[in-house]
Amino acid sequence: MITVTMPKLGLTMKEGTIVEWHKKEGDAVQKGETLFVLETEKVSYEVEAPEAGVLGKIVAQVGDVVPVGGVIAYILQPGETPAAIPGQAGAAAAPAAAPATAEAPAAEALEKVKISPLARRIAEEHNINMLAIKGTGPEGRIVKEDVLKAIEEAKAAPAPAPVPAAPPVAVPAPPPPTVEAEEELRPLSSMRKVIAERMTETFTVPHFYLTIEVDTTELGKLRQALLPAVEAKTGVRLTVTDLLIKVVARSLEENPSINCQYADGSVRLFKRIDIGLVTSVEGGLIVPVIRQANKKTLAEISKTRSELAQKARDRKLVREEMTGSTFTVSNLGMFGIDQFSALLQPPESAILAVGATVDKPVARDGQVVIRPMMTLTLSIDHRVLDGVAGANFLQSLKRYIESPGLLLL
Amino acid sequence: MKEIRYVRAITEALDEEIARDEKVFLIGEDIGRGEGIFNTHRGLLAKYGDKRVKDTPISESAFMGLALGAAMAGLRPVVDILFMDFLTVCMDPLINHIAKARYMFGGQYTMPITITASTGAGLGAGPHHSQCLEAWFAHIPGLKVVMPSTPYDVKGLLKSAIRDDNPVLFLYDKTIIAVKGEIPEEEYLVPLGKADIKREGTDVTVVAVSKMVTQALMAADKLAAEGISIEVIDPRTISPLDMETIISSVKKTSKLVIVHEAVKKFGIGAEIAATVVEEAMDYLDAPIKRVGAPFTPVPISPPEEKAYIPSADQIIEAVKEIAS
Repeated sequence: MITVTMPKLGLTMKEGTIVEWHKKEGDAVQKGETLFVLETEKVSYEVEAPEAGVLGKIVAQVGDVVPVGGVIAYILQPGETPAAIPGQAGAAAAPAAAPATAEAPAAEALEKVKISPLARRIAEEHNINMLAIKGTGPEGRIVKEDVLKAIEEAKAAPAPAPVPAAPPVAVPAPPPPTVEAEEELRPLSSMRKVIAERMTETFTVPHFYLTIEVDTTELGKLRQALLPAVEAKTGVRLTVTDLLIKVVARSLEENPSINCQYADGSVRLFKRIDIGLVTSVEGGLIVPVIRQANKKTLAEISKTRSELAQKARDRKLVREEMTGSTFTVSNLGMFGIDQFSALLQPPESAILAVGATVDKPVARDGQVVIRPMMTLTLSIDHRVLDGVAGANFLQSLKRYIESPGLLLL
Repeated sequence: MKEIRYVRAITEALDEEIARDEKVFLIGEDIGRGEGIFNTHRGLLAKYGDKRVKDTPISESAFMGLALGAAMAGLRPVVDILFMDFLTVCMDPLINHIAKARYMFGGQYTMPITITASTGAGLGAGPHHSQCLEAWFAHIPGLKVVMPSTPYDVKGLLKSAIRDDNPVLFLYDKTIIAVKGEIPEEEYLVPLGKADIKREGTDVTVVAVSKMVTQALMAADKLAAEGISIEVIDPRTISPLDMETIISSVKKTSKLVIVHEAVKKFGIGAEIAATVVEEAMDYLDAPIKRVGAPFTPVPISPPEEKAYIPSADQIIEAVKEIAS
């Protein structure tokens, strides 16, 4: 029996997502036939059957995120029965291989890239995707010349030219930075690299910021009133963020134009309201998504938010839990930040930055009174949205925050 | 410069070292009146007398042991074993004592023993008189192993071997003793443990040993005509082995072929290949190829023997397999 595992396609690859199965359980497979397509942060890759046989079991389904070395499927060889397959259903998405043994099959999978050590080294130094190079050496091995050619081609066509399906070929790496005596040069984690790429991408979007101050007296009272009930029902402590998500979802319903994306000459308007929540994890950020936030009760939002945050910290989020948000909320209030502006999360067209609630003197009916005030800053993609639309949305937020009873309507 | 035969380079080295150092003496079968079965010791008995040039009965184990004692007493014996195949009958004094004496006695003794012996198939001498067993001896810490390919290297290396305070196995190829080459008129030495680049090239590194150097150079000419440039490296000394020169060449060419006449399996090619992979794998652009004899005793039938010995054509074939 052959165990098909998640190959390691690059030095930084930690996991991959199954995006398509070409075979189903019980199908006969030939050696070299495409079994499934996987996707990493960087590439999509067709994984071939290492040997002929019958696809005995698919462990990882489409959408599953599998760590490098994790079991994806079993291929039965002649004379073997499905009884030989270890474990039972439900193993999907779980890292089937223990970490200690995970490396061996990963290395085995890498062997499938037939490339000379020299060519491999040059490809890695220049950040060239080995899988995209056609080898011209004996038995199709990728040799030095092939890699040098790929580097040349990459230089000749420096534009990223993102054809979504094809793996990005040959991005020439900048010359390695020099390190002074009092410095340390640490490679970025794969998450950090993604953050760096995405945040840089933000600056290709013309955007602007709108800020409003809201009085959270009523929202605070509501939270105190609901705390025991929500905790009794869900076991989770209701947070200001939970209430804000509810408020944002309702405001998006009222201002559907905000719930959109710029899409290459068009604007994509979403009917679903899926709210991403920027969550701090060790070494970076993850944005889990609270689906259909407008259709969830406050208790449901609270429970979902809590579960996703825990999964994010444990790095157990699967791909669908991190993608497809239509609007994002970033709350730094608990860190004592009064006000900040958040960078858009392309392709989203808006993100709300929430500051701390601070007691401030404000004028009420001609009197100076002390009120808990919170600053909300909305970042907007100006290609699809204008100031008035953003202002209306912020006004809507203000109204619900200051009179949360309206949420019942 | 003067032209000299490979065998005469041996004689000159022995001659000069006996004359230079009164502690040097020669011992072995048929080296006195017989002047060496390959004429290696020509004229030496007549010139220096039987105190310096000792004939022995057929008793390799005994006179190898004698050399051990003589070295301990301060002499510098040069032991001739005719065919290296016969080293098998004196392995105990050589391997267990001579190779280890400096180590075991805490450096109280030096072991300035040189053992000359012939290697190589091609004379129809059969399985007992044709073997290349250098890998066995290179595997023994305490022994140095020298395998020269040219008259120049023969003379310079043999003189260095005799002057070395450690036991040195000096292996000459009996089938190329008539080959001529230039050497300086004046005295010179070739250091042990230093490889020689016999021909510079850019596409493939070919490490060739002893007689195979000639085959590699022939291959180089033919390959050059086809536009493939090979660099021929002659290690000259098998132990210590000059991996630095080999690795720096591999870093230049990214491709390596190793050629020796000894059977390919477990030969020194394996040691060289393994070291290159350990130290310079990231420079390799193709699998390392080895050319060596098939895993069989040396045949006595002339056509079979000819087929047995690795040839320039086999080197060309190996080079072409990896030169893209």
